[in-house]
Amino acid sequence: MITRIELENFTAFPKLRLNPSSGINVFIGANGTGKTHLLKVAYAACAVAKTKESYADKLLRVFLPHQRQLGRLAHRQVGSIWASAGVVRRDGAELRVRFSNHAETAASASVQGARRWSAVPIECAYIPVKEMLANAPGFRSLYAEREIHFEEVYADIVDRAYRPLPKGPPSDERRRFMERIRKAIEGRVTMKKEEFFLRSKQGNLELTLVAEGVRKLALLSLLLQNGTLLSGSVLFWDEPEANLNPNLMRVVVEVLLELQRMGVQVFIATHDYVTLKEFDLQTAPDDHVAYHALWRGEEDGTVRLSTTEDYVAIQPNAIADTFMDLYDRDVRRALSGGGTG
Amino acid sequence: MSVLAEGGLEFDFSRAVHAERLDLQGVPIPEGMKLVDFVVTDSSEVLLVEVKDPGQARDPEPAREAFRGRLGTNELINGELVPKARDSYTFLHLMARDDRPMLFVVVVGLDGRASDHALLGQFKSRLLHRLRHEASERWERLYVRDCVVLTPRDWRRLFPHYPLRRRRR
Repeated sequence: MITRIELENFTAFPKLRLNPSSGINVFIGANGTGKTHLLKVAYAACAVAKTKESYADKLLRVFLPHQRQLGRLAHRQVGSIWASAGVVRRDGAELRVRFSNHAETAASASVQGARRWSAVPIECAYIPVKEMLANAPGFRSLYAEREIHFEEVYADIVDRAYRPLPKGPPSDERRRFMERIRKAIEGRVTMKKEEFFLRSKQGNLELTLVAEGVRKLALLSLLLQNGTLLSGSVLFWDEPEANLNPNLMRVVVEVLLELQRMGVQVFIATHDYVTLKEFDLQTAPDDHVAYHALWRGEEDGTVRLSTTEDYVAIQPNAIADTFMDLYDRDVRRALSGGGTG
Repeated sequence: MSVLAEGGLEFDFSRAVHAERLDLQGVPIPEGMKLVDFVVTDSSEVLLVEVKDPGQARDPEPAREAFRGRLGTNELINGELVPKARDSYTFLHLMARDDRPMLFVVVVGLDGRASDHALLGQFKSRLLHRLRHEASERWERLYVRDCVVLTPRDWRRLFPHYPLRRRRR
């Protein structure tokens, strides 16, 4: 479980210190406030705990800056600066990378704490905005053999989807989750010769013929089925609402809260009111849900962070502000006599 | 009568051309009709104003929360608000007082937290749809030109010439 994330002069963040919840962490903020960057920094750290790769290398492949120059991940400013990203785990292990904005390769970065960090592997998954399951066949080998311009989160999630099932029957808890998803997508996911299908009343449909939102839930089902999401795992999900019919968010949030109760730490970034409201409505008193609002200060434009566990107290709330703006424009149109027909 | 109150909210319409309560106690109204709380006439239009104020309850916060729940259903729209708007229009038409366009204004006694506006915006869309389309086909006549759903704070911002205050219990 991640207990702290510290960034200094890293991408959008001159300085940031975040103490995430042990349960669900919901990041909200306008575009360009670094929500995805935070998820990727923490994900890269979790991923290398198991693969024992260099943290700097992983960051490069996950962020994919121009010409793979590490220095481009430093906060943009005139002159020379040092950037750092650090992630701390519950057992006190700490992984930190430090590099200058002139660093061209990962080798020129200094990484501290890697040995202790990788002594305890972390199961983790990062679900990117674009669904990859339908394009999974062949993608892994293409990614491994060729220099293709894809952030590594895409290859990583495909790898996890292909993981073989663990021995023995799934626990009752996992079986319940999978059943819930099966109902929502009205079928179950099967695989034949590396290709995924949705087996439903309509037959065996290739995932390319299935709505992208349904594919996302299918992926979640696979991750549950193959044991990627267990107690102690960390799940990162960038904009779960993308391409998902809003009425399916109820199931997504239900499953995320259940995962949290099971001991999975969850990080999501969202722009979606329905997602936020579902968390507000479904969170039980013993659940741990933290809302992290990112915004740019008016004076200097730097990204700031505020955290609350109370949905109503999220401030600033870019999503609610957007609804406020829509509401306001709608009311003003009505008052000015601009008809609606 | 320029100061009109409903629930815990008191409106000062002294700058209006005319303002009145349609459902005054003791004054008979046509059988079966449901009427809005106030009709306010200004130079260019008529406001049909309906007030829903959970904020006047003894323990207002739970009442507001319950009211937010009602906003999510169609019961308030279909059973109360739209019949009141439609009957009030009919009443004014039969009284030959429909010489100006009408705007249906619902004032809800919520405290206007940021998240309320997502709810109110959505509620307004459903309300307007029902105002236009109650029977098997849409009404041919747009009897109210539009509707708005406002918190007291919004009312003060948008109708500063009609001051609104909360009455002490």
